[in-house]
Amino acid sequence: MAEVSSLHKPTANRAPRLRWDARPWLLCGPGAVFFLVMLGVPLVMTVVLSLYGFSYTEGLIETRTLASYREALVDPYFHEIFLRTYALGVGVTLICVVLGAPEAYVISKLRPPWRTICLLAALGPLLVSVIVRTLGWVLLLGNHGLVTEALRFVGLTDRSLMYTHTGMVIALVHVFVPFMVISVWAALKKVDPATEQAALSLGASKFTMLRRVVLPQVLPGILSGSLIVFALTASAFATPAIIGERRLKVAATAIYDEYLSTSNWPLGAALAMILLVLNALVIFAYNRLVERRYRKTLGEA
Amino acid sequence: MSYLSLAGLSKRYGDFTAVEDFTLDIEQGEFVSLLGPSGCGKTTTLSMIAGFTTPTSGRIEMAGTELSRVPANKRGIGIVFQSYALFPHMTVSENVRFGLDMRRIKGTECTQRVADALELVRMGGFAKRYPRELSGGQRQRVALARALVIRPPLLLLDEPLSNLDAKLREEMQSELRQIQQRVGTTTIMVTHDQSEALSMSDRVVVMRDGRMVQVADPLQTYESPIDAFVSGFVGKTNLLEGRLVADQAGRTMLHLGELRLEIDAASRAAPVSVSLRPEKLRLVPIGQGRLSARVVGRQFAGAAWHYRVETGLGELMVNAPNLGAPSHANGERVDVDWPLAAMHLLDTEPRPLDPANAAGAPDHG
Amino acid sequence: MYRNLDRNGPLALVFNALFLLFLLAPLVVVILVSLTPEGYLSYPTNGVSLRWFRAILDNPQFIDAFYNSAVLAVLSASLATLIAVPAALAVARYRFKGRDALTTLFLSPLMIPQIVLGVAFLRFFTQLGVSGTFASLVAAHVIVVVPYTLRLVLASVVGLDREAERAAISLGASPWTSFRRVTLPMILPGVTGGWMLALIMSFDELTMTVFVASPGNTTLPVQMYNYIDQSVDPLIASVSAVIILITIAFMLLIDRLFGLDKVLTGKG
Ligand SMILES: Nc1ncnc2c1ncn2[C@@H]1O[C@H](COP(=O)(O)OP(=O)(O)OP(=O)(O)O)[C@@H](O)[C@H]1O
Ligand SMILES: [Mg+2]
Repeated sequence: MAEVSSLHKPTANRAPRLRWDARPWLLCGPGAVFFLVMLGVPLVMTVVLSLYGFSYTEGLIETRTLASYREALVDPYFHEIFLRTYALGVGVTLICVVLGAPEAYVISKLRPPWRTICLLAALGPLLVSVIVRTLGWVLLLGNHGLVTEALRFVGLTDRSLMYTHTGMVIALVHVFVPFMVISVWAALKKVDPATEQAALSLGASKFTMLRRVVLPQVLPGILSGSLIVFALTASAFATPAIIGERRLKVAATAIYDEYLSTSNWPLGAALAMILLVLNALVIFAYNRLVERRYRKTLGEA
Repeated sequence: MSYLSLAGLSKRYGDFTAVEDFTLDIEQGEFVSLLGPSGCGKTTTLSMIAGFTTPTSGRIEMAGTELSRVPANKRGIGIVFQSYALFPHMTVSENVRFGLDMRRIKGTECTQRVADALELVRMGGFAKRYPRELSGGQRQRVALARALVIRPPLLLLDEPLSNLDAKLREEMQSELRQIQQRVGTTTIMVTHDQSEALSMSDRVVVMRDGRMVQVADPLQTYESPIDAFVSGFVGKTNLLEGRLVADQAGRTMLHLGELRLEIDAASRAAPVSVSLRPEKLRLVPIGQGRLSARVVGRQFAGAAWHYRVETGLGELMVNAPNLGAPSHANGERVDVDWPLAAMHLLDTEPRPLDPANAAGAPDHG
Repeated sequence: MYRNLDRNGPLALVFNALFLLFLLAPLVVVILVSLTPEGYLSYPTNGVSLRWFRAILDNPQFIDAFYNSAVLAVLSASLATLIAVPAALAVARYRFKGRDALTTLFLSPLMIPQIVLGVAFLRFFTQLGVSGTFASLVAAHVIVVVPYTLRLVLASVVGLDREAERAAISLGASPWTSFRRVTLPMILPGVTGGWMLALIMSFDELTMTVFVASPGNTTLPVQMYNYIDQSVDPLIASVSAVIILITIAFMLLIDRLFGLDKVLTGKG
């Protein structure tokens, strides 16, 4: 958001300090009302829903109770699910950093035709439906998939990676690593390549140059990419649902099941609210941390 | 044996030639300027010496060592980049320190050298700032300090003073010159400012379209430009078209319009261009000069008046020192006079000068 | 200026190749499997066949879902543009109370997990008695795609040279004319890029749509998800292959017109 507020250019037809200017509100009023209604009301309704009671015989009970939250927060079954969700989030994010950041750098150093081709190949999958990409992993990791056969051949394992954490991590990294590439790529485009040469001319080795000159300059990109990947992984649905299925539930698939299999809507709503709050907390804390550290050195100039 | 020796240095990008056959020997402690229009290959040349651009062909030797196998970070050359290339995530003093860190210079010596370098470029008060908190000229001075602090034997400066105001620029020029003479740093400087090139350098290299056109000391570059391009690029000049004619008495006569001037030149019957610097022309009362003229424009430039006068040879620029006397008015009739020695003859035909130099057609004036 | 030195070592090139292999392998595998002549999941080792592409035509549920998704994508992308362009103009041009809050509001769907949006919309639409209608799908999709459009339009509005607009007005153009003849053409690349990104985002949306779609009004991703939940066969691979090909065509178009990286980083 810092980006957006710094975008403003002083304009001549800015409203005088005291007079209220109707024009911006005429421009964005309808959209704002639509958003307020479409976001505010459903979320409030969901909070209300999460406070209803539920029994398998009677269905919804219109009381006000924290029973669903108690269940979601106390039951070790859900502990495991949330733990898995956020552990996946952290793991996938770390792997995306390790793979995506170097890849963006390597692409930026390719010669012209290859640079565009590789960039398209690295970012293009973002536009392909998650379902399709996950299907690809089902085909690769399934019982007769190429990866499974290869692993069997090497003798590493004879079990398929479907319904395993490893399989989920692989597929999730595949789905989200382009976000890291694009984020680091955007940061790299702001780096003056002459700074790398300046470092070399002053006697730095290639490694020192990368560590002390390139890395600090793209760190904001890595950090914002990490946030995106983490938030998306923690709320991912399609990939865990297909690769992990019911055996390895994460928050999103658990919510889905409470809604559409068990029909315990209040519990599903409570889980959704918990996921929303946890994600919001992480985003908020992370932004705080990053901003405090980087506003000074690398503010948007 | 010269300190830095560039032999037949060329750089091609596809079929575009950025630098062609650059050959130059530079002595230890010498100050050489590269002068030329934008895009003529100055930065590319520096970049090849620095080791960031691989030459398509040619050799670079520094202190007797062939450099092609020496990576950029082992050459120890100090560079001020055209874009400054300051590290945006480091403060001013961290930027300047970087090269000392690489050389494992620590403690008080490091602190002292950083402070000295910053003091030298008048940036002592800005040590804690980040580059984006500095003006363009301040950034440029930090870049200079960062290059100087490592005490490099060879200094490459790519328009190091282009962003400074006139006063600061003069200070920095003499500062640079002093350091350079005190320490004996061999220096190559790219500049767009011909007076800077003339005042600071031991030798000036004028480049055009990737080629060297003239290599000479400043006086010679200015007084004896090799062709119309150089004379037009280094300072302003009036270019007059004329012909050399040998008369019956064996004298060489220069025909300039109606004018017949006897000059001391190898007798040749050929069309020539004559370069006449505006400050060498004088406006004199009617009847006392070589050419009659009428003032058609004038500009006040502080130390001098810049006139434009209409003559039988076309419009000429005349600079007259401002001596406090009343100036000539627009429309006033005057004569123009000049010493014969002020005329510099140029070939109108392009001619190959020496292996390294082949000037283009003199379309510039 | 000195781009020339920037070469990759052999290690970096190997890394690059492996990385791209990792990214592209699943897509290639899907296309390979879709070409199998067999009746079960296998690679086309005994020649290639288009029988599974023909089979799509015999499965109207995919055709219908594709049609639904396409209409839904066009409608929601267009509506999102209608909301995003004025909003971007207001946010970039005027300094007013609530400006930051408004921006946050319009971008907030990016912060809310889509599963939460799905749950919330389901409740909302059920209470209103409109659940499962096409209109409710459109409304939900507009919310999800507006942030993408807004970021691109905002970037192009902010980068705009206001002097050009003033010049038009000084030459006698009315504010509306100057907007139509000067401003709009200048921000058009950002607007079109935002529209196309919204189109794709809507077309691919699954997590939220799973909750608000109904058997009568379903989308292609939802249809595919439900299908995969039951079984994985070459038919789903051929449907996926079609999607991959359409997406590649679209991606090349976007890249030609605007540069894919610019559209994806929201810098129109
Ligand atoms: N990587 C490159 N690929 C292709 N052409 C290049 C490349 N780098 C430079 N050039 C071209 O080589 C020529 C010389 O460039 P160079 O940067 O050396 O010019 P310059 O003399 O420093 O100009 P200026 O005074 O504007 O800085 C230019 O025409 C430029 O377009
Ligand atoms: Mg240059």
